Amino acid sequence: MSGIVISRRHILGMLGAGGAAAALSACGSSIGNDSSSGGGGETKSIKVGLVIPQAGVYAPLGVDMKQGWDLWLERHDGKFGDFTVTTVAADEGETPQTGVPATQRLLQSENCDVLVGIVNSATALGLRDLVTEAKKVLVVANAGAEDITAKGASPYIWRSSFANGQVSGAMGTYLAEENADDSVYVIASDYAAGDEALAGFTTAFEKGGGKIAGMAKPPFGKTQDYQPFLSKIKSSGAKATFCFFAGSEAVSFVKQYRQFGLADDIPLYGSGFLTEGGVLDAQGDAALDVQTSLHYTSALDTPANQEFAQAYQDKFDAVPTVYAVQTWDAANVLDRALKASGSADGDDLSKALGGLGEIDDSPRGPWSFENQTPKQKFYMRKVEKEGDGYVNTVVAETEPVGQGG
Amino acid sequence: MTDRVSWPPRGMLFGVAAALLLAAAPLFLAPYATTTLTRMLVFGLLAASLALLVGVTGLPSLGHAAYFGVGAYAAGWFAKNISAGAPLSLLVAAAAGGLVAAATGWVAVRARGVFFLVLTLAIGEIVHQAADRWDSVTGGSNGLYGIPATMFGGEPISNVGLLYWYVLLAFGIGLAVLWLVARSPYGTALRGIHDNEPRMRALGYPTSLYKYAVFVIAGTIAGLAGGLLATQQRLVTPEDLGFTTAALALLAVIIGGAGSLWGACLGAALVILVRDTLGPTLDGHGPLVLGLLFILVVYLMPCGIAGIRLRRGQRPAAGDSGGTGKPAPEPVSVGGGASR
Repeated sequence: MSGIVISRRHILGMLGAGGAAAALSACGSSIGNDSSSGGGGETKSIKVGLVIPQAGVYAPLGVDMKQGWDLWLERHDGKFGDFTVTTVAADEGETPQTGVPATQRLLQSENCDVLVGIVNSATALGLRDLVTEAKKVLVVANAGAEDITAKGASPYIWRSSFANGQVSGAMGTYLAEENADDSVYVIASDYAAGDEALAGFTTAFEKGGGKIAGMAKPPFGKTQDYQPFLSKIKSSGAKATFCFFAGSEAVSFVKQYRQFGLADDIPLYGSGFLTEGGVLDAQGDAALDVQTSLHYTSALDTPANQEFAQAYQDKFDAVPTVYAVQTWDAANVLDRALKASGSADGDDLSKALGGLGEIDDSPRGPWSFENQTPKQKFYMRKVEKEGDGYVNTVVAETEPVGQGG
Repeated sequence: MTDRVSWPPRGMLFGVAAALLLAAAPLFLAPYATTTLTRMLVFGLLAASLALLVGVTGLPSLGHAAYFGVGAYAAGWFAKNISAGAPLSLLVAAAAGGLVAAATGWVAVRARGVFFLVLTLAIGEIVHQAADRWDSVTGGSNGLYGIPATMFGGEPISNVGLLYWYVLLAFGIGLAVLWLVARSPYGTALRGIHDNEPRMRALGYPTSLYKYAVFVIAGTIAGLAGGLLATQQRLVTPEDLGFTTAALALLAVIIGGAGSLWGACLGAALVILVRDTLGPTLDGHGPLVLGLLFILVVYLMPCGIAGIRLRRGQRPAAGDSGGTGKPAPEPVSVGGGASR
């Protein structure tokens, strides 16, 4: 240890290397005309920036998204229409602090023609001005904030995933139809997505004649023990519980709900992310009979999904998730749009995306863009055991609904 | 990044050269490199304001990002709802940062050492929580987005090069303020507090008041840096004033060499380079590389970047700080040897 001698020259060399790395990408000027044209032209190639979380709490979603993307390209010769696709992946990280610079690099340094991905809603909203001014299309493949395609909409931002209130609203409508007399207790993580999910559910449920027995918002990312909340649910006299949790919070909530003895008396409902993907395995038996609404389940019995799920299983040895499907569909719509427009230009592409009509071959079932976000069917799903694993089987499905519908 | 340094005459030369280089940067850098450099300036100013607290006065704050974030939200909100005219939002940001620092600092500076650390951490968390929950003003966890581009003479500054110059100008002013404070007799007294507070008190210095004042000054400049963040990124989220930001700023200061303003700026540049430019390309290993780099730098350069020059130079003007053992404060630090 003490033998290490480091001279000033070494250190300066180190810093110099860092500077050189920055300088490598540094040619040209930032003053004057800064529009740069990538792709397109004679060669008919398109460069896509895939911004997905590769580190941090959302990393598992990033893996699924990458796999969905890769699978689509592999099964379509790596082409969108006549365009050969080059994918540049970047790590979105957990927050806009990493997500925005990563996207900026893809746009300004890599000269990507199109952007796909984005899990964090704040990142998606924060990119609005960047992509709008660059006139590049961004297909949001997960982030669910209402504002992305409402108050904060941009003609260049399209969404292949969902809106938070849309997912829970479907459950609200369904529960009100099933049993409007029973009151429901609602609980969600205390942050923007949780608020939107609760609002979506409550509005739809009350519209159908349902009554809310009570509401709780445990602090987001800080709650380990849900017992105080579970006691409140028990004493509220509610006949059912609706919840919105994701990731590790979904695991602890579902497990504690079962351990507390509520699962048998007061059935648990939720937004589909509660029991989607890796969290379901972690919840295990505790999740049995939990019902959720989502625009996809791997158990969907359609030819398109069966083919997709089989291919996914064969290639990645995993059950596909909604996150994989959303990115698969992002590729799907870009393919269709490029066939229609024949040009990777942001304005042309945006226009073509708007004229796509129904996407009839998606694993999730038919859907279409309405206000640049999917109008799609929702499935009421129930967790059941299948062999060694768990699966969300379909109990019912809704008519296609759009955001806020 | 090393403008406003002052070791005569070579230091002056370096300073002028660095300032010229920085000013000319957008002429030969591609847009993305310019954007990165802009971000480095913003974070550099935050780190430099923290260096005034940590290195000069000996107040290791873990909540300094709170004032940065308050400034950013204030500037963003002001630009969005009232006016996006050129220097206005920055003035609002600096004022907001200063005010919040004034409101919270009175409690904080009464504590010392680890208690100060924990108190500032708590203040940071409270402000973070407020940003996260005060939806109508801050946009909650979705952040404050859609901040308009700063207007200058009726035109929005949308070109990255022009934006860079705007940020550079504000950065220069902010750094100059910090440098003047550190160089003044008041700054010397702060360094005295750093070295031996009871003695300074015995000599008749109102040390609590002095510490409070420097806390507010640092908060004001951090607020200005926050305003620059809102100007450049046009998005402010609760993460910008969270613990991670505060910790990264502190690391930038330590990398730079705790007492050195320009060292802190270089440290900040390194942090941004690794986090934003190299990080996203590393297939998810960005945070790991960042961590390793910090360990390496701290281990190999106990006096930080600022320490390298001093160790080798052996310049008499460097006074009593030629030693290499102690990681922290260099009386010489701010702007180099001539500072006292």
